[in-house]
Amino acid sequence: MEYGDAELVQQAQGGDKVAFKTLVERYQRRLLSVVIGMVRNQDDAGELVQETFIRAYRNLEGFKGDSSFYTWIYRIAVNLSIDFQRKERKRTTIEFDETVALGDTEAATGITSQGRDPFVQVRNRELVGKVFQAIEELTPNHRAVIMLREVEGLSYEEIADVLGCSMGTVMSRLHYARKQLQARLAEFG
Amino acid sequence: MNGAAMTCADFDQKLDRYLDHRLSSGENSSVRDHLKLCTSCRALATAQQECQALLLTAVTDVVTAVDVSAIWTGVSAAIDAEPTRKHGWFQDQIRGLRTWWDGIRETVSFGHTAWAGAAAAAVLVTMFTIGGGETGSDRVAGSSSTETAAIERIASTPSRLASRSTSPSLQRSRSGTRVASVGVSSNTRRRSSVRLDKLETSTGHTVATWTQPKTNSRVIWVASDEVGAMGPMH
Repeated sequence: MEYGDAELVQQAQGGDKVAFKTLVERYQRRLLSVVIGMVRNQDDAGELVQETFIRAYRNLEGFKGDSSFYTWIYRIAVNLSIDFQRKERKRTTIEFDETVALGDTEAATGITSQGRDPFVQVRNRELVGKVFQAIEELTPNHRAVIMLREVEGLSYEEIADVLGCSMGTVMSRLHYARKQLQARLAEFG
Repeated sequence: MNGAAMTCADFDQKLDRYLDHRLSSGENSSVRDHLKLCTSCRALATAQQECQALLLTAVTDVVTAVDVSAIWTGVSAAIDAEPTRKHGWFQDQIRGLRTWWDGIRETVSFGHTAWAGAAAAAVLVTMFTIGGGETGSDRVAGSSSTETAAIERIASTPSRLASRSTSPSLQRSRSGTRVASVGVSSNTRRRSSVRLDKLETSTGHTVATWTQPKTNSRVIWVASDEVGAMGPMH
């Protein structure tokens, strides 16, 4: 039997570590999708997702279920990612110049693509590199909105809940981010 | 643009909601009509959809290849380092007090520790007043009746003790009976005995509770393994 989030949260609040592990396994890749798009580095993203769950566990007793568990952990993850980006902005920019700009996506993301068709590997590496380069040029807030919408498929209302802003702000940021992303990718051809 | 009911600027404003399926049926029809007639807006919508697909594919490709097992390993280690989540009211109070006391110890100098102890005592009285209604035996699980023993306490009243003690600790006597002893300043040395409601030793500290006979006030005594980390308070 598969428990819902609310039941697992309740069990975890009672000290059930296995229940919390189920929640981690359920959401770790989804969180990673958002965070890796925001910080672009696999190792940093992994650590931020880990920290997200640790903070969630520590504050689990304070979670009253007013919002869904996943929007709650997205909020923690996005806030951690935005803080991280602010602190690491300069360093990230330097890394970006040295890796993605040269098409070395594997070095930038830490992802290897062994065992694939070499032509597909090259094309995919370039493609992924271009996409991440385009995302890189967005502000953290715009990056958060576009990752939550395009990758995670959250509704405007859910994004507003995660980011603690109005739905109008979400729509405005999404509009701008999409325009910017499209323009940058068009430049790459 | 050639749409009769919608301009390209109107379309641009609605494009996001169109792609996200958030338009009313009427608005949706208008957009579709516009797209049938306007090639530039159609190209724009197509490019936007391609961009969305590209982003999703790129991120999914990257994330799918990531080994996420390390995430739970790290989280699990952090959880194990946390105090046990399942605990009773009494343990909650003790854990909170210890954290709070550690904070006080970090912020006050050694010479001010006694005053901090007195402040702690005042707060503890408040906490027990608020949480009142329970007996000591309700609060502490796992204590045996043999541990509910008389102890000898070398002290004056607990409130004075809180401000004057130097190294309170609970010890086991030669006969095996749990006794409490505390070093106090020489001018207040006095022997008295009380009956413990509960005594519990766990997680590096010992906790005793009793009711002060004369004042009928509830007393909690916390002694850490680090002697003198926290004195008795009521």
